[in-house]
Amino acid sequence: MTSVVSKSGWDRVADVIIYGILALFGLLTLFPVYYVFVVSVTPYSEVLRHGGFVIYPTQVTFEAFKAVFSSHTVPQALKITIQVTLIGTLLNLTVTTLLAYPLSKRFIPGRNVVLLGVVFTMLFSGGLIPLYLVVRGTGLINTIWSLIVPGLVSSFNMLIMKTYFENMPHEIEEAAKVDGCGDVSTLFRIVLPLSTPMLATLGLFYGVGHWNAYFAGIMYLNDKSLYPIQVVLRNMIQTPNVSQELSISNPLLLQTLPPETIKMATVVVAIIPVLIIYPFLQRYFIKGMLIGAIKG
Amino acid sequence: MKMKDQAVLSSSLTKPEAPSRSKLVKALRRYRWYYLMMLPGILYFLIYHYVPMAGIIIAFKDYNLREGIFGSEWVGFRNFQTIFGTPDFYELVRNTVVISFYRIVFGMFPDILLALLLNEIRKKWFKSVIQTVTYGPYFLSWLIVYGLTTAFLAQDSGIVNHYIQELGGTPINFLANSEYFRSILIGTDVWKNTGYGAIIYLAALATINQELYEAAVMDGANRWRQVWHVTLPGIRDVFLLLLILRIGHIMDAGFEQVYIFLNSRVYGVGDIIDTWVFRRGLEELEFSVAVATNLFKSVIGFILVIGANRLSKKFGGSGIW
Amino acid sequence: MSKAKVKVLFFLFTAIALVLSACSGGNGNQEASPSGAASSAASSAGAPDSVSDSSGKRLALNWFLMAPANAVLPDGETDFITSTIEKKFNVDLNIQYLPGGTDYDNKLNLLIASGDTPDLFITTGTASQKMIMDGITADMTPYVTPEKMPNYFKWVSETELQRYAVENKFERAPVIFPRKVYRSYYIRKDWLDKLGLQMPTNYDGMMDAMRAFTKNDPDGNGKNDTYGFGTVGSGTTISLDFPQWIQNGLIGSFMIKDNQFVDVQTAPEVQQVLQGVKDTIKEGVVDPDWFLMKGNEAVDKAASGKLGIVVGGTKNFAFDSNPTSLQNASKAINPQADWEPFHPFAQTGAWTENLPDTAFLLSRDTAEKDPEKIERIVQILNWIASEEGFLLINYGQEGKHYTRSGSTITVSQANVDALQKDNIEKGNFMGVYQQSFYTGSQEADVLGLTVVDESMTDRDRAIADTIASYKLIPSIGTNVAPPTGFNLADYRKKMREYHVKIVFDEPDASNWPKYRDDLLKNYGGQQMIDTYTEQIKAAGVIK
Repeated sequence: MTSVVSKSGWDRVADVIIYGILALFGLLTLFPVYYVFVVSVTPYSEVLRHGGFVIYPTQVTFEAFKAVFSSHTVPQALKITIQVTLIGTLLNLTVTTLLAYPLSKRFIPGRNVVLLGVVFTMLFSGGLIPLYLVVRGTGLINTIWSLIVPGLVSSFNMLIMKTYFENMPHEIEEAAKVDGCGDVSTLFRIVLPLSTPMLATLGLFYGVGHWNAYFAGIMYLNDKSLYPIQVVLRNMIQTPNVSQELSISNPLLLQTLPPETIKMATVVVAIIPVLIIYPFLQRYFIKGMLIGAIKG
Repeated sequence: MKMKDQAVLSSSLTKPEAPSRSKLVKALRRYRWYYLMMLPGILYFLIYHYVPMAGIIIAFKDYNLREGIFGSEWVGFRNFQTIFGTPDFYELVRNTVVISFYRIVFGMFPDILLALLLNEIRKKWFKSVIQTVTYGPYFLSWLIVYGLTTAFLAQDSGIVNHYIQELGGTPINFLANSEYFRSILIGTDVWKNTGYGAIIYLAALATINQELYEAAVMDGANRWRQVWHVTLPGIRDVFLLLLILRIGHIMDAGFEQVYIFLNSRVYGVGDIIDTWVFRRGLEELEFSVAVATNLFKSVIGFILVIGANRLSKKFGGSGIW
Repeated sequence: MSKAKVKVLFFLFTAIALVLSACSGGNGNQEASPSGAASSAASSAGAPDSVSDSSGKRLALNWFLMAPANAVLPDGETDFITSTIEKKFNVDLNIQYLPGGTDYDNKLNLLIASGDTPDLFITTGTASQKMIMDGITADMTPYVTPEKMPNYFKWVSETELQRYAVENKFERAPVIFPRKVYRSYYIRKDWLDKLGLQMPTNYDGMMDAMRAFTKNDPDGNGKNDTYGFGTVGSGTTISLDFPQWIQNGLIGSFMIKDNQFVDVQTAPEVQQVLQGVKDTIKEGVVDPDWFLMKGNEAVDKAASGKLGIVVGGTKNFAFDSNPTSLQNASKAINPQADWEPFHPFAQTGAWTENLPDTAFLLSRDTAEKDPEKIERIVQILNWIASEEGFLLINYGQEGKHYTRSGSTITVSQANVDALQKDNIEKGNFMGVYQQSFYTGSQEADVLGLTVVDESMTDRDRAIADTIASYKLIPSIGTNVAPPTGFNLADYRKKMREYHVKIVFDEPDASNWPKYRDDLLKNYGGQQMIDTYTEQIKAAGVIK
């Protein structure tokens, strides 16, 4: 924060406490991801020997990853997911910004109706069947657009962005208007360059959403070659679910389930990209961006 | 359908100003670029949200696969009678609201706290590492988190009970114990989601005008007062927005997590509306009951959102609209 | 300057408008012909009519099948089952498949809701009842007959078919299902030997073994860390694996006793069962984690050498020849491990016979508009049930994946390896057909065939023989459906709640009669039992 202040004794104590708490919470949250990784590289028999719980790999093997990638659908599915994530996030951000910016202007007639209409959709929905009919009616079934268009704008993200625009100092826009910028060019030339923290955040939210999505894939796609990675991985580790009155001797339900190590390997495959991308986005939320940009 | 919805909305909720025709035309012309910008977004909401809302009428019908949404037989409020006639309905609602309330209180504040603590860090690498590490568990499914939770808390093989026994205590079956169940739900929720939840506040913090801090320092404000007078007001609007939305979702107590953590020894404190709907609507294929329950939840949520928004504005907050 | 930005904006608008308008254009077309997708597929694929066939014009068929989780149907000749069917019956198969479960049910419902009902589809019991009641399915009377499907009737009897009908509507038929039940207890023979115990043959012997396994350190590691018995409660209720159920005369989940229908989990005898389970748990011989364990967690724990007795449900559960069997998983940790099957109630009744579970159904729309398609499907299903279909689906191609002399089918290790390469590594496409049309069973004896699996060891064969010798009691003979308006989900929930309350939180099981009364009266249990009884009576199983 304010780097100019000299540190008092209390500040030092506060620092120690802050660093301490964060380090502790960091360790606590590092553990699950670390654990998943450890199990994925440990031979299954070793995992069993330790009662299903290994703290560090006693032996290292990449068999589980080989098993995951032996399915020839994985590379294809990765390609689809990357496509959907890139195109989808770009479209999401564009349409969301275009909707959020005018809605941040309190003086626009009809604004409240639109906002209420958006909030309404967060609470009310007609369920899966009518949505499917609309997706089908708009010709998206069995195309990758069915993974993008039905979730084009997240109401939540749009409201976040609107709130952000509302908090932006009005002087900046007014100055732009005085310079002769229209509504549109103010948005693109002045407002958006100052909104990188928000664009990065929402880009991350949308991107992660696309990366993790599987339900739309299962419901809207028939062609397996269009399946995104999460559908493929989920199918790999799905356990059959037992309904209440089923006969228990049904061999379908007793088929061998994939070993824990393969499950964990699929998890590692699925989360590595999202973990890698985050540190690169962090530099967009460094303090002082706003003021720096205005001055520069 | 969509027109009607819009009409209902605008008639019931905008202030009765009724601008004259010429005023409207004027506004349309003056703000034409703004309206044009909103067009794709509005079209999206109309097509992919308001058109499918026609499906809500299933709540008043006995859904028949062949007849479809419009052809199925009307049954009035029969589905709602089924819901409210469920023997444990009161318990389900109570559990849902209590768990939701805990989630609001114990779910929102850790997010803010983490963001504020990270904001105090000047060592860039440390901040980046902690930020990334805390964000990791968000990407593990609840199934995996449950597996890890049992590794710690299981009665026989759990690490915690191992130490309890070493210290001479009797092992506790934490996950099948009504006293601990809700705390475990919330605790693992904090564990899994705090890092991701903090991002939104970090982004808000990044946009606080540095000059405000400088001015505060000039006024002799110490670190704590800077947080109080500059940082917290800077994230107030985002906080209020999230709070209002969460209040609107009070009838959702987190199906994905509860479904995986629930067991029959903790039904009394852990069975929620959504797990009931899952058993009833999806496993028993009673679609109409499922839709009716969701409608009931939505109506409550919507009333609460409107109330919360009004309160927020009354106390000087921004509100959603 | 601002002009450039305006251009960008316009471009974006047009792009989005294009996407949207293109969409709504497609809308009109598809509304016009609900089976548009199918017919266009047919015309494009049917063009090169090079394959000569006697059975008329080439047809495009839409199937919706249940698949193992890892299955992917590859294109072209690799999938020798689909390509054989397509050539033989002059059809184009458009097969959609998912693992069974909520996603499967959802997707099938969506297809039905949008008028794209598949020509042939497969569902579990509850879902098929709903579809029949809602009029989605075709009457099978003209199609599923011994004349048209002689091969199918080698597997399923006409009586079974009749009893499988829903409210006297013959609109579903069971897919071929296993007749043999491979459910058995497995015990650590090496632990028995070490402790000088005999293989248990009755309930008391089993309990003695459990106690010894818990207290006498059977693995000799000097630690008190083993349990006699383990199972999975899935966090719901008392697993039917607990031997106390059969000990008190309750077998399976539904049974007929003294000409009466019994819902096992709410029978009066449950009091003794719960008391017995309580006592056994108190003795400390049951793995305390059993209640919350799910899926294969108990088997994993058994493999790690912590449990002495578990229940297995598949034939090759402890085979040497199954690389993922409990036997091999245990041996990787302790080479001495030896799992042997036994059953304390082998002579009196180990389980009930199987009932059909999964159904195949035909689309009513197709039957009305395109009966030719249904006729063709019936021909294909008959072929699937034939010797040729059975062998191709379950064992692969002759010469490559098995050899045949007379009625003996021999599968060598080389054949197994070839099948691994041609099927498993190619997406386990055979699994889709095996699961959908044979419920995963391979009972060659029905067709008078003998299968010799050379990879099986003598030990494997001994296990198979032991399990085959267990006595099964008759099933309730018919599939039952709860009365309309009855709330099965809430009923079972309350039942489970009472079970675990008695086992974990009450001093003894004396409250069961009271709880049972509540279930029967206030949760509609009596109504359910009466309805089931009527249905079983109507099927002629009881008087």
